[in-house]
Amino acid sequence: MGKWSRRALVLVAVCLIAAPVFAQKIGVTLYDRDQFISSLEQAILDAGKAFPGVTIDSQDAKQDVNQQLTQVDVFVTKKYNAIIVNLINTDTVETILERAKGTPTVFVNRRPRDAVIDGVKTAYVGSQEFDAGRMQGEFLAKFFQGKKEIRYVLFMGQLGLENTNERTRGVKETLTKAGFTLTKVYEDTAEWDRFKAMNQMQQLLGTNRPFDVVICNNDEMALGAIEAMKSAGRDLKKVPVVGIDATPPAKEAVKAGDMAMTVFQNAKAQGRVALEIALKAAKGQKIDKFGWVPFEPVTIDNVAKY
Amino acid sequence: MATLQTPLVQKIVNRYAIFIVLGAMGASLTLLSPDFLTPGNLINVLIAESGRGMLALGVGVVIMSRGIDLSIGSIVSLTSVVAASLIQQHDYSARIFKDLPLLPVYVPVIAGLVTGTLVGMVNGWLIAYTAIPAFIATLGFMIIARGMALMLTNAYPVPMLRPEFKILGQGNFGPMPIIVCVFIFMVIVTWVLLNHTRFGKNVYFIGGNINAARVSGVRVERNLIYIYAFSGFCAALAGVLITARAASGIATLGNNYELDAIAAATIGGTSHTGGIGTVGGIVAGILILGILNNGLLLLGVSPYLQQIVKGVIIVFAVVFDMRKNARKV
Repeated sequence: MGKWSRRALVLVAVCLIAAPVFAQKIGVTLYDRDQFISSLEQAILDAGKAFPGVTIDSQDAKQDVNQQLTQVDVFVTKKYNAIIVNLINTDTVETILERAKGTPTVFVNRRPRDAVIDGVKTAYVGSQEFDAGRMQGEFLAKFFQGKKEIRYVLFMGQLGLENTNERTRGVKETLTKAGFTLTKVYEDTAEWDRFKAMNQMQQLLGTNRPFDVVICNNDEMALGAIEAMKSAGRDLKKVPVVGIDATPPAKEAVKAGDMAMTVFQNAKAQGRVALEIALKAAKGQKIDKFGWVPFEPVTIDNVAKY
Repeated sequence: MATLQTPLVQKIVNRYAIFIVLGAMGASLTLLSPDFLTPGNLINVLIAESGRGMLALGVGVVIMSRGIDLSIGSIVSLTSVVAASLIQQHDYSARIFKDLPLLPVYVPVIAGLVTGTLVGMVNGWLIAYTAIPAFIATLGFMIIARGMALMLTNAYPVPMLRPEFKILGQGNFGPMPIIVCVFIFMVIVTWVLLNHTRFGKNVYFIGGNINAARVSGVRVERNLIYIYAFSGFCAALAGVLITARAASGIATLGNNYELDAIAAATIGGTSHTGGIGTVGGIVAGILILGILNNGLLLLGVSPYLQQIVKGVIIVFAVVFDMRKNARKV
């Protein structure tokens, strides 16, 4: 076979493989465009540019379940190759899959029941709440190296929510596994609320009970605790306060050395991975059930990056 | 002798029931926790409850007029973000109003107070002139004001407030925190209003019998607007001060505060059938809630059990206190 004919053959082969790729259309429906979701959406669109021929139709359901269902219907009618769904309500997942009529569907950021994820036509992309707590635990294990006992104060989010439970379990298990004895000084919900955490902290400080660390399920509560500790003249270098979310004011607090660490949820990576899985599923390739995007610890050493 | 004494004891118990509950709770907590009866702890209780206390005073007056105000919690959040957005540090890049010049501290305070009072006035106007029930009018503004707060901030906190503003919430006036001083001042103001002004007489009169009040020449509509404006003002004052204390404007601040405030006023013997209630009772009510929260915190009661304990004590306190009203009827 001559050189040229072999080249021609390769070219034909490439075209055959690439042809379905060129035709790919992906529909995206978002629960609403808040700051986090907007940056997730932008990441999907940016990632799409890397694949020539892929068109992305991104819609915002404005927190209306009906509108989300209609958007899915439209995607199916237009014969899109895959759908990315950021659920408004995790209870509507069955209806959505019904309406998708077998079109590959990737859920992102809001996690449906595991039972509906089959790893063939459906997948979930997000971050594991447990890991956010685990990262707090790892940071604190390093901070308290050489100590045996950690006397802790813990502010939890709304009771009964998955993220409250998992974040709490994550930090506690990690510290226990690292060999620390955890002694509870105070543990209660402050309902994600800065002012509630501040009030509780101030009353706790009034008792002069000693503690080594303040663990918070989110940044707002951590900022409340910090505010109370500052006005009581406590040294935030010796008693670290840790949060989760990496909100703008929390990052300022990390820069100022008031907050020891927080945890960043990567919206951009979630968007990119969701699109990659959606494209794979559209081609009928094997996909993973879950695309886990790691949380990232943020401390004074790397806060400038975020 | 016994027959003479029993009615007297009974009378005192009935009259001061709520203060007896308060005293009993204080005494048992003193026994249960060595941390309870210290000046530092008691001041902390006052600091924590001052905000809700101001709300309770306002809504207490409303309840005495046989109304209700559900919007006060949301007024707290709206004033919080309005005031905070006007006093953010200029070196913070994600400010709400980027082109705002450096404003003097009284601007956000007055803006917040005016906002809250206006919402209250609109509440009062609706109730007075459209005759819709207070429950509905203020429910409407509970939702509207929260929506406005969320819209103004996109649900993000409004942080990095200037220190000269924060001092209002965190500073001291002599040995007393400013926020507690303002609460005590508002207690006195409310007491004077209710007991020594025509406005106060009208509140009880309207609450007792609105038609009789009207026939006797009370300008009911105008007074209703005053009543709800007062409630809005109290909520706004609390909103500004706790924003300064939390050092951040928060659109969800004050969530459910209306329920705490209504509970405090009710525990303090303010009757929902109107015309009955005292400032002393409201203060006792807020202190009972405050001591309860503080006691559960000091004793380290599990957060799940706490809710049950709170509910039981609130209901028990009101049952104990209601006996005096039951006897009168």
